[in-house]
Amino acid sequence: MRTSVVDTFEDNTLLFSSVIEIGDTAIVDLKADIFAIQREIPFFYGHEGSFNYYTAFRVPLLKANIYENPSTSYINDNPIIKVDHIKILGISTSGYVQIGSTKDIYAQARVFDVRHFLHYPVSEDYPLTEIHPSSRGY
Amino acid sequence: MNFTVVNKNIHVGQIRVIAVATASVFLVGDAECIGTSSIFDTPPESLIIGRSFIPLAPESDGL
Repeated sequence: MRTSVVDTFEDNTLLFSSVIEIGDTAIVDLKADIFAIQREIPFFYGHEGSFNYYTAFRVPLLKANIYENPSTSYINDNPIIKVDHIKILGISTSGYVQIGSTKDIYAQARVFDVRHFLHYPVSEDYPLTEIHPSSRGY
Repeated sequence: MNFTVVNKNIHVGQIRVIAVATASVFLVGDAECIGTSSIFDTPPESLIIGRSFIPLAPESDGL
């Protein structure tokens, strides 16, 4: 494993089960379940929405099938990874930033979006079929 | 199968990133195994058009 050297690091935002790690780690496992509801008028009850009800939160996500284990050897001629400056605006929803080495990283995110309009959001320039292709029946 | 990696000099000046989002990884270092996955769903029933504020079904213990 090599040593990572970063002179300056800058980040604006860190949210929704994201991590900034400075140093080495062994296993990193990030999970984020997001249920988002957007209403034309921002009125919310506070206890709405069920993760169990929607399949998006239940289906198993794809996993890499590593069926071959090549015997790998590393020769570190220069054991330093050098970066002068890093600037990141935002890290979000199981985002992972690390300065250092690790063994395994697993990250998963599940996002479910609901939109609630009070009126048909339709005009001549912007027909409903463009907003949602399955609304052709309206 | 035998596989040999020779790591030589690496020096990066500047990295500017807008966002690292939804199960993404930004790594300055070595790793053995990285696995990321994400799901994004907006099915037809997620578009509601109506004047009443019917709350979505809350989380229940029964399900």
